[in-house]
Amino acid sequence: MTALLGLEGVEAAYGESQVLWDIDFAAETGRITALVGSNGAGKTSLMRVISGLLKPTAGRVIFDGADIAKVPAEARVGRGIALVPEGRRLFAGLSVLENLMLGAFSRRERGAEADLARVWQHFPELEGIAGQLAGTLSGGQQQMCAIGRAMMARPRLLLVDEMSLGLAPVIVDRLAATLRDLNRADGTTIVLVEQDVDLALEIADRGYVLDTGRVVMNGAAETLRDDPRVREAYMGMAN
Amino acid sequence: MFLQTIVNGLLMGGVYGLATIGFSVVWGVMGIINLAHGAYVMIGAYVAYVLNQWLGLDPFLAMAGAMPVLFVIGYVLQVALLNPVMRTSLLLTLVVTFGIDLILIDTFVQIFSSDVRGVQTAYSGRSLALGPVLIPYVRLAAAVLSVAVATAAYLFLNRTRTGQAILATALDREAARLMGIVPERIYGLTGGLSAAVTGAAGCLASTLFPISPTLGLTFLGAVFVITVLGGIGSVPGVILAGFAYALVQAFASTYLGANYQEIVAFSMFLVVLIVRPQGLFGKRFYGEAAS
Ligand SMILES: Nc1ncnc2c1ncn2[C@@H]1O[C@H](COP(=O)(O)OP(=O)(O)OP(=O)(O)O)[C@@H](O)[C@H]1O
Ligand SMILES: [Mg+2]
Repeated sequence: MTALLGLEGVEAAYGESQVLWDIDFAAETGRITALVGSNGAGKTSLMRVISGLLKPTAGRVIFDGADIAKVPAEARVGRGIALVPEGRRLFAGLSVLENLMLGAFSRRERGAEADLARVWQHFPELEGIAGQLAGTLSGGQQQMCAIGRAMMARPRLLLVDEMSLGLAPVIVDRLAATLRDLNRADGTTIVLVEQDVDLALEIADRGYVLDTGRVVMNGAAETLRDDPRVREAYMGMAN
Repeated sequence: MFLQTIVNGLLMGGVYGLATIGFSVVWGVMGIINLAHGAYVMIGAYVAYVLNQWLGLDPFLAMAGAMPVLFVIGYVLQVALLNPVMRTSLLLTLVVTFGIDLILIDTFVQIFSSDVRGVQTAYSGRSLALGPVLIPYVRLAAAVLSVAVATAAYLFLNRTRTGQAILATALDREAARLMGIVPERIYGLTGGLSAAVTGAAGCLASTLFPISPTLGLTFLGAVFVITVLGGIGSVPGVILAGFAYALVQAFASTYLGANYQEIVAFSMFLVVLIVRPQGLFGKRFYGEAAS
């Protein structure tokens, strides 16, 4: 199995304080990889390294065979990496439609109509409020808009940081279904960060467990799901 | 008298509003309070003056020359001097833009001396009489063109891909980068376009005010007041506030005397600042940069 994304010995810091140590990580092409771990473990930091917002202090970030560690974030989306950031980070003062169109900015909006139709198909309720300011959406609508915005970039690698946080179970099911569809129908490779470890390991093919900035476990999703250490440390809280 | 005062205010308001848009947008998008902004008005007025002297060009048509000149000045200053300091401290950007202002004013003193100049047109001094109210053609043209350029600026920000990228960067710089937007490029463009619009206002101002290297200083005060009244970064808010400011000035001038117009206008500013700090018309739009 080839990896679309591979991290080798990645370290990262905010100023003086180091948050990631010697990270080896792979996202296999066409698969869903879950990244779990407790609060402050470094999941978001790792997503920021992959999307280019945080420069690693050491190690290599290989995407599609090339080391992109020095490629700035704004150039990565054009290469096929899109991030649904923690907290969604919609452009609050712009409308739903404007947010979605900005998602296609790196493609100069080429063929955006088709992508838009795809977003409406997954999230029909967004179409009715296309003109509404993103800052006034409900939590669920915001997450749909954020995932839709990332879809507009036609990513080969989709990074989703905290998909389910604070959302009703019915919404979470639909978002999960959308990710599965993007993965199956388009072959989009996905990395999913989740507080809900049960959910993450159910959707994913493989999983990584992060603890205080280090990878402490990784393997097939069902192996991790059955691992007593994972069950005890993370699922007790998640269930 | 009363009607004429209203007309006087309305005719000046457009130019004040147009002169403010660039300042307000730069503040909203980049968090820069550009003290050299008044100098852009001044340079625009001199471009109109020079083109008028050399080629006999109408000062309103001179906008076509002033806007590219000011775009280049605004772009270069932004990329070379302001991009490196804008994210360090507000104080530093104030010092740098103050320095730029001094250099620009001195340069124009060297070239043109401090002599006061004026631009004359064939229709200067002619007015349209509507009953008892006189509407000078020059002021009418300046007001109409101001609103036209302001509308174009508004449509650019809200209806074009580049305008959307500017707004997105203003709202969330990091999220904008995730879209593939290069912030430094957007800042250069914002600086250039803002200066260009201000240069257009300078051309209009050349028909209304005596031209000297310190023309900008008179404007900077008004620009500050109008920005705060209109809401930082809001183009429609700034235009409305420009009219409000000019109306207050006109009434103060008519009924209290010309010496009072600034005092009253600035008092209004202080009152608004205390009562409605988000501005009279502005909704809070911009995120991180403006705060
Ligand atoms: N901007 C920052 N500046 C300094 N330290 C930071 C910053 N962002 C995160 N950290 C620190 O880095 C560590 C990892 O944080 P990170 O956000 O990556 O964790 P996380 O696994 O995503 O946590 P959560 O589940 O709460 O989202 C934490 O100790 C955090 O305090
Ligand atoms: Mg996180």
